Amino acid sequence: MTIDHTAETREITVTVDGRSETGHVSDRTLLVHWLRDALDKRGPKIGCDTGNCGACTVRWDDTLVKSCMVLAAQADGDEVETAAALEGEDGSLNRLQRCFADYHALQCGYCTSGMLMTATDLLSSGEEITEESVRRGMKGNICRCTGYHNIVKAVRAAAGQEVPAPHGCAAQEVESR
Amino acid sequence: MITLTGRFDTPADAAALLALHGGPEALAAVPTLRGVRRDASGGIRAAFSPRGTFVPMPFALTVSVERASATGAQLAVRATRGQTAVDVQLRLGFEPSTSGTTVSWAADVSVRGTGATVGQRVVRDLVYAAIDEILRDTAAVA
Amino acid sequence: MTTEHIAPGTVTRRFTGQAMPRKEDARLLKAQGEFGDDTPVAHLAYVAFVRSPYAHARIAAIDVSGAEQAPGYLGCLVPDEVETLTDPYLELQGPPGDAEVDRCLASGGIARFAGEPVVAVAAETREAARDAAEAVVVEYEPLPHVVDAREAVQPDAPLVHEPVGTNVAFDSLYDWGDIDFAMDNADHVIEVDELHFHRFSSTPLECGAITVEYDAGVDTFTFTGGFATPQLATLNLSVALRHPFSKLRVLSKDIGGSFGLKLNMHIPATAAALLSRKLGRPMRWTETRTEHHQAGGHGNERWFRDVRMAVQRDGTVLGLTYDALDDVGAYTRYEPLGGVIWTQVANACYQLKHLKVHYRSVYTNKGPVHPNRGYSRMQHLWLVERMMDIAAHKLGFDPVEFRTRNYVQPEQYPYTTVNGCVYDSGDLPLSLRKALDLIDYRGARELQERLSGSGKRIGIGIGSTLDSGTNNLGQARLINGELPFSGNTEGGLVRLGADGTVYATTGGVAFGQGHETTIAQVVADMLGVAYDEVQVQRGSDSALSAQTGMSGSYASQFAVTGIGAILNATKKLAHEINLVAASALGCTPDDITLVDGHAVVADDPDRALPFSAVAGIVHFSPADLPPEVADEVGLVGRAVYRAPFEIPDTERKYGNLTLTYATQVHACVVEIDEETGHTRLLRYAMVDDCGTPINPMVIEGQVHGATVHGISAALYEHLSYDAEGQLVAGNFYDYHAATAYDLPSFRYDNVVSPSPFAPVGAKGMGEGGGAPLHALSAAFQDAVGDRAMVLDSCNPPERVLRLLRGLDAERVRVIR
Repeated sequence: MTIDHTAETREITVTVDGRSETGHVSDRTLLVHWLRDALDKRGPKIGCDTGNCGACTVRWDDTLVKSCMVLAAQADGDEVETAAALEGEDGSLNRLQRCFADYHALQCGYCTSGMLMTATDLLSSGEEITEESVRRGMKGNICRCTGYHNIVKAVRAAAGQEVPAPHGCAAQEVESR
Repeated sequence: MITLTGRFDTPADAAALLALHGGPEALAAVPTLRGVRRDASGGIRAAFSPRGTFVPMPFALTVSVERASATGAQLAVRATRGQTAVDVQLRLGFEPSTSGTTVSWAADVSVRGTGATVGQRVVRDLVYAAIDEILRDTAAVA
Repeated sequence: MTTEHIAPGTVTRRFTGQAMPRKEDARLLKAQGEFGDDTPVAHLAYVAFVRSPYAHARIAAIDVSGAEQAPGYLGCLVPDEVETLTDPYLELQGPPGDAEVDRCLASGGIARFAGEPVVAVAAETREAARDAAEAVVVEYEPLPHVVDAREAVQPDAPLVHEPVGTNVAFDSLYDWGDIDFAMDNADHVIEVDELHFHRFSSTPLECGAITVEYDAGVDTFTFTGGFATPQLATLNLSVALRHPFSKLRVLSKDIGGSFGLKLNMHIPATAAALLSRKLGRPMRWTETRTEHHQAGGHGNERWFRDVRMAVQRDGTVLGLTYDALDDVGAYTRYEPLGGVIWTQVANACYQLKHLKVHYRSVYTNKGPVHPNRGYSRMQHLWLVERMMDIAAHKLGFDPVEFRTRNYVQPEQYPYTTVNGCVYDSGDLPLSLRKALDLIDYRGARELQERLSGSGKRIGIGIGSTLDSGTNNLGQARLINGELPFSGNTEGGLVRLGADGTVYATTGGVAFGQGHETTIAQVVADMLGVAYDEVQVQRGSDSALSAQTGMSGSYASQFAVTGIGAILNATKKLAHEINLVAASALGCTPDDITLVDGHAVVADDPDRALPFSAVAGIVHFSPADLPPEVADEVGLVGRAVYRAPFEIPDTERKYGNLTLTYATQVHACVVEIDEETGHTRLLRYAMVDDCGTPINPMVIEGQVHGATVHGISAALYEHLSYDAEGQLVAGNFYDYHAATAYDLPSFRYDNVVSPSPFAPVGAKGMGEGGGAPLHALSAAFQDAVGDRAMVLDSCNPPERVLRLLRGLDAERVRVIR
């Protein structure tokens, strides 16, 4: 890390979604602002400024963090992954994303990237996936549209569990739509 | 409204403390005050940068002395910083002691704006620290 | 009716009525949506507001010298400048409230609520703008303030708006039937001193975000952000900025929730526009969570006083009367429309014959109210449902039988209410039975008995509600006879592109309701193309001719007005396709049917023209067409849907105010910890009836969302103020929006009562009607019996503990 005292910024290099990105940030620049403003990463969103809502959730090395609670400078030399990295190489939705669509787990979509990041982490954590564990695991992410019911279903479906189909849809149709 | 009280000892005697009321020049020596001046209505204006704070931004301070005597004083203090306003009715008591004066203070504090809304869990401690600090610092230059 | 019903058989409904996956989802799931703060803009500057810490204060002096020293500072805007440069917005109220002047910065140099913008500062970066705003020193002279509407109506109360001369912005007496007769002659009269519907908001996860770009070359402002009523916003901006309507453009892309609250975005947008013009830079304002809670709009808080209900010995409810004090905060904005909106559901779910309400909209030194999901109806619906519940408890009726007996019965539709509104369809008794089955009502009663004395107490609650949709804007004349509004329209535009692609644009504004999806469903069916082949415009654009003046998303209406307009537009396009195909295929337009992306001769399917060929002829080879066809056909269908309304009788305050009435009946089982007052939701069920579904999956999702807004409001959310007028719930620490962990899985079912009045039998339904507030209040009442009375809509643990100790029992009386 080089410190440029005159401009009161420092240079950081962070691997973001698999690509090395170099930027000049002030000490206080939040990771979420750098990702959004400098890199046009639209996964992390700002919903609360206080670490409550989880819309800005990203993976920082091996840790899931709310990127409004991390300074950009702290991530220097590290890896950050946003929701933009979840899709397949061909641009197709991954299994979790498909389940979110199949079970109508998003409405306005503002919380969705954060939900996906948290759910991805939960699903890879080795924790047993149950209705209870999903609700507990997702409690740091606020959604004001869906009422969570369908988010919980989507995460459980992504873990291979059988969950009720959306209203008006037969169970066997869900993934073939 | 928050009511806070405190007490400390200072080597200065009451007369010296009261002399601070005489003019901004004396207060200029207080390290956390900048730009001390008297305004058109006789109040004292200054920029106050408390040491214990989250944000290194000064409060704009207006102090009116409502009453002052050898036994004590009453001050109305208004401090604003950005979207926070702190209004304080401050009562000071001076009691001679062997080593100088014991200053006891009681403050009725109204915090408004962001400090009241977002800062509601910490604001009491911060205001206490700021009042205690500025009073001790001021007494020290008497 | 201006839209023909789609008669069965004439259109193959491959997609309409199906749980089609949403068109919006792919971009949102891939983090490729474009919300208000997402769009990169060259040379962008940022706006931050300096806000008043005082609930009421005169601004004595503003010193921006500190801001000028801040690195990146570009300039600022102060109240005096705004007074000079702008005209007041269009307001709905007549005298005396019309003396109120609202501006984007403290109007008349007076701040009227904590959090009101006083100075707007612009700077190179977000951080610089906030630093500069912090460095502005404003000297305030505090004025006496009032935070409680009950005090605000006292003669000696401080005035929020001096020129108005009173804190009552709107005062109206609604008197239908003969309430005195009912009260004098009823077997029973129940009297309640006071009930309180608390202040909360749906708090969309995306706060306000506005970008203003001023293009000097064409003297045009372009606003991008979450404008929920784009043409009304344009009108207001035009008036305020004294700028030609034609030189304003209002855009939205993806919006992270509005729930009605973003109807007033034109106010902060005015400040951003003035700065943009003054400083020659595009400006963006991104509201913080705390700013949103302070000033982004709250739901209406309402006091119901001197409430009396007349009930017969057999359980028939005759009527109801109360005085309402509706606390609108410091500015009326969309108010006092709430003063008439509630009358859409005057009868609630019941066969009331007599209703008398004295309604006052009251200013206080608190954040202004904006329309919020369930706007103004849910407050009245809660009150009626609460009174039904209280009456049942006090008079010893079974709460299920009591409601069922008084419900508007299925055979009574269309049912005319006391004030001339027409309930279109429904089956409330069936909805209630289904809801009770979903919670295993009998089993829940057994559980209640079993746990009695265990320290856990069970409460079972029912909430019946209405979601009135598609406003008759003529109701505005009931609050101000001078207003030039009546009826309702929405616009839609459907066209065939040069390659035969089908494009659809609605005048509506989506913020999560899946409009792109439902539009594609109905257009695909009518044109006989695949769902995936319909391209639906994302967001809204005031410069496109899809919109009408009333366009936007409010009042639970898209399934009626939005879809109705799209259907009318599609019909026009289909007619043009038929004309072109008929001349190319040598038949008459009536011989053509549209199937699988082709215009086909009905009785000779081998003669067919793909849409690409139809488009090709019109766009590139019009000489192939007879001139009379070529001159008529542009392959653009633009149409409005006009809701069939008449102007209400302003004298009697009588007439139909909404077109459709979706119903929801909720039932729940709660477990209360007697030691802590903590409430756990054991079972929660909702039965929705919004007529013929267009997309059942989307409907279920809307019901889930409205349910959680209601549950969270009933248990946690309260935008309360302290005695100094300071908001004590300024972020998600102090304003607990329910999380997944607070909630159970839901039990959902539906009833389908097609609306005879709506284009496809579907009713508007997104708002939900606040049923969880009714159901949870009833559950608490059920848990405590009549030893305490549930008279407040918010029951967090501390209040539940008081209920367990007999709270408010003495405030409810059976006077006969």
